[in-house]
Amino acid sequence: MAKAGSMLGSGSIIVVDETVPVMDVARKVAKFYAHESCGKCTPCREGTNWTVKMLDRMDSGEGTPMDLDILAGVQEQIIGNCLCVLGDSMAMPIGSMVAKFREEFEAHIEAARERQEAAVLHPEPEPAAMLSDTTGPYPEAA
Amino acid sequence: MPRPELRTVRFTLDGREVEAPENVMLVDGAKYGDVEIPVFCYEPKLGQPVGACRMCLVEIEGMPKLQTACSTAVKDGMVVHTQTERVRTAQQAVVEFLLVNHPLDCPVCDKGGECPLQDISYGWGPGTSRFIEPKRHFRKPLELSPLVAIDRERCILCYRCVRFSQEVAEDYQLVLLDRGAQSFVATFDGHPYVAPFSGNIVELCPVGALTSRAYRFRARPWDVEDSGSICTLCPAQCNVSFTVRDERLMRVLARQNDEVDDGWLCDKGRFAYQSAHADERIVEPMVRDGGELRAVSWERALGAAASALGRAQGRVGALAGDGTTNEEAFLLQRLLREALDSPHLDSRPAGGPPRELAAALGAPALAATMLDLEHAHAVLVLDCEPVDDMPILDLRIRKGVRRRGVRLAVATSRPSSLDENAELVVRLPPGGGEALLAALDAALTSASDVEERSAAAGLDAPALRQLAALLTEAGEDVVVVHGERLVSGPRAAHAARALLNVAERLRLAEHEGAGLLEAPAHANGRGLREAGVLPEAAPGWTEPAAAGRSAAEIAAGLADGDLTTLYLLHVDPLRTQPDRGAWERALAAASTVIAHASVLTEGIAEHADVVFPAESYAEKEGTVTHPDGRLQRLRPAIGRPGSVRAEWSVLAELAERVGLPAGPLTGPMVTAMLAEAVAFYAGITLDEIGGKGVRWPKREAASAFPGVEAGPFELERPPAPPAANGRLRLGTYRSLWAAPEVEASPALKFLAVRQRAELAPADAERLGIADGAAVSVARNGASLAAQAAIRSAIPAGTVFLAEGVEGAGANAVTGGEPGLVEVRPG
Amino acid sequence: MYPRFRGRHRLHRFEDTGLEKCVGCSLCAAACPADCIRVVSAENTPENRISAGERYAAVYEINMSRCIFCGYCEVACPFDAITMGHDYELSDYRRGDLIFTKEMLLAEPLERTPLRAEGE
Repeated sequence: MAKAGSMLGSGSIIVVDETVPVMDVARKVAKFYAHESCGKCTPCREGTNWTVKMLDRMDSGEGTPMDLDILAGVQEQIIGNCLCVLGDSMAMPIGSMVAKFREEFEAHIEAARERQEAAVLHPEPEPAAMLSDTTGPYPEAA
Repeated sequence: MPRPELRTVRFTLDGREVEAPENVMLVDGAKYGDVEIPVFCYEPKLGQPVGACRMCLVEIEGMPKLQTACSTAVKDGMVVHTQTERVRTAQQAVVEFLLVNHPLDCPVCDKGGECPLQDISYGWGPGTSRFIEPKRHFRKPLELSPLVAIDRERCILCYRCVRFSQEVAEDYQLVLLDRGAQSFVATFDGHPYVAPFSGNIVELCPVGALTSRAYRFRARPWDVEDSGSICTLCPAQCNVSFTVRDERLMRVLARQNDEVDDGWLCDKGRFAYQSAHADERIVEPMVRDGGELRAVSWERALGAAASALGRAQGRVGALAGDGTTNEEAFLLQRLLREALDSPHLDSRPAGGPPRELAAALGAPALAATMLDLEHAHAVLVLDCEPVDDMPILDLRIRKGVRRRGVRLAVATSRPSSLDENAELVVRLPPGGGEALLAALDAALTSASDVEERSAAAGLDAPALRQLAALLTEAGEDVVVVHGERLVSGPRAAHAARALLNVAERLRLAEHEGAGLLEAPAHANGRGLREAGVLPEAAPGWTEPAAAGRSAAEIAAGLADGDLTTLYLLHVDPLRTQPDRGAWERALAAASTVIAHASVLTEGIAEHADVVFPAESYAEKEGTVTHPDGRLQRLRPAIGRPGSVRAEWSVLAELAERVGLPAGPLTGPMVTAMLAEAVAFYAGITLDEIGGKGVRWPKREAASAFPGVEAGPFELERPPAPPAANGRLRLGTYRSLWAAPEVEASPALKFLAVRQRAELAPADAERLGIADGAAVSVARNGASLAAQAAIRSAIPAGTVFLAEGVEGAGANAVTGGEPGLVEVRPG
Repeated sequence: MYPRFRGRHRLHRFEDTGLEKCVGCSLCAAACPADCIRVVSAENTPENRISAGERYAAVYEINMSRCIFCGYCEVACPFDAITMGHDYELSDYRRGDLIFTKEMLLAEPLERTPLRAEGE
């Protein structure tokens, strides 16, 4: 496992067949770790959060294949720099997914872009409300 | 407790041999090799490192992963690399990650220009960011408290503020909510973060997330100059650095001195600088003319004061208090003793023990230092509330208990904020300090009458035995922290003897790390006594030519007409002295009252005939003496407003006008005169004092301390407390916020104290008083209106009132000594 | 006038909102080698909104008698709030009049060239 650039983690194995897009797997994994990150150390807190945002962006058609280099770079920046291994556990699978399934990612990004361009040129009757970047989680005033 | 020995280790840092003390963290050890390792979350003052920010990653040979330099101690033979490609990549990664959610607010952010995040981004960052997604957003800026603004977008979640609140101040108010990238700093239950030390988080924050509301947008680091001095708003005398712009104080920062303040400041010290620029500040000399105080020229004011003093030859009384420097104190006693032949002067509001006993308590061998508190085996807090009397002491005691396992015992009449940290808490009846000491003395000598003595004083005998056991078993280094009130009042001599006995039994004088530490009533209480502002002690605790009257006797003398003139140096007797009634009569009867004041408080506004404008502490030049004997130097940070003059020069000129030969011409000349007059200050110069102060008990000249009465003494049995008969025993306390500087500072006005009568639930129920209801506290015909505050920790049968509250101080009903009062609704 | 000529400074407002661009960050004062700029900033309130950011310049003064017209202030400004204008006729009879306030710098330059009267 280690030689293949992965590990057994908690001992569970997720079996995914070729019909599932690797982008979906990556997003699922990244979201899980971003959700579980405690927020104490910087690489894990910001790295998992950034990875999710990047994958979401690629999936929605806003990404380019160059983003994959950034994605892979961010995973490298997380590995080995965290307080515990939670960050590493996300960075390893995501990193290896990008390395091993790069073509599939690229194809996914391209397809998503085309879909999105089509949607812009021929908008659906009721587009989903865009989140303005000024909204966000507002905690209660102190 | 033995201090850790400093052994040095040798390790290799970037190919060079470096020597550093053993067990310091690599971040600090690297400084010995002139290498800076960037950090955000690491702050040794906060205790154990957490290694959260990951900024300090370094490569250590033999370890596969990069290690955090903040949590790795240096070891002999360690080989460390801080400049390799691997380290650089990791540091750049961390900076890039930190900036992912950090807004580009620098132009509007108060931290801009003095921001560690800016500096580290420049020094160790990648220069660019690859992050293009939307950043996280919060509503901003919000008030974390009336003093601190919070901007959660800028927060890099380094945990410093939360650790301060949880592990240093131990108020447990700040918490981190949520998790992951959504984490944010908040207060418990959304309450404002109001605490005595809340301002420290502003200084701790490595970004602009927590900023001072008082300093908000006032200046940039390149607009200002820093000026180091001492805060003289309380006896803690913390070292501060004033930020000055255009001759105005903009803020106060801590100037770390481990032997004084450990780098912390209380909120009064941090925000009450505003009083120096308050509109109500007196900036012209004033003379009463046709019943009203009018601004006049210096010539006229000095003339009026000099002629009044000249006429009253021998019949002048003087009080000195808060903020008075050693030099002013020395010149005041010179004016009274040498020029006016009237040695009636006092700096202790409620009097004190006679000269020999008072000097014995101030002897160098008995003096404990602030560091001793932290390294002691046991600390006894006796009849004082550190957080109010000398706030920084509170943090130091907490530090000792939390980090070094100091065993803490608290023996106070009012519930203390340190109760929770204490191993043993003994509640004594108000004014029961002497009885406690006498009983403790008996318990320490294994006398047979401990039970009897304790019972007579209303104390719990088993608790007392436990206290004696704790103090003897903990170890040899015992520090007793006590308030001035313990050894004041009519039975001051007995209390002092009992305290000296306890000190003798615990061998406090023999052990280096043991001793007494007093929180005096006035900021420079110790300095005033050593400079001779006492009725029966000249400078250096020597015997004066003639003994004078104490504060209470001055009041009586003025009322009877034995004295005619009163000189007030930074004292408003209606506010600071016990027995307001006596002082009202005294002030009304005095033919002339001369006062140095910065604001017209009650007594000054109504009774002063000549008012000299007082300098603020940021304008003063001179020295003050810390309760542990450290002489510290005040340096002027700003110019004096209006026509304010240096007060030492006013005192010197008055002395000259009433017939003394030419006095000092400069401030340092007064310091030299003082060093000459006080035998144990001999040879001290301003240069020697320098920026960090010098403890005179540690100097050679300390051997010139006058011989003192040695114990143990035969103790007289303290009188039994009077029967209550339905009345309550009155205890008083001093609130940190009951000070004219707080009232004159806009930022702190929300904290100004209103009189509260603190009652036990049982008494409140018996008297039919609800929490928050108006009550009147009456004694001997005088009464005081207050708001009832029912606190479950208050012992039944007692009521507590705050001293020094403008217009409603407890001194209206104290009549010199706390006694029995009647509390009624309405 | 040569377009890049560095003459008397000008402060700018946003054309759409009329708010001042300057947020009073003092970076120009930090960059100024002649130390001729003084900025005292204050906080915007909903009732009194002067600039777009959280803070604004309550006092903005340039001492033209000390200014060396290097243009560093313009370079330092993160909001393009200050630019070097083209006005060069700055002489005056009193030194005090050469301290330009925020209002003067925000306004169009006055016509200060003394014009020859008719028939002179």
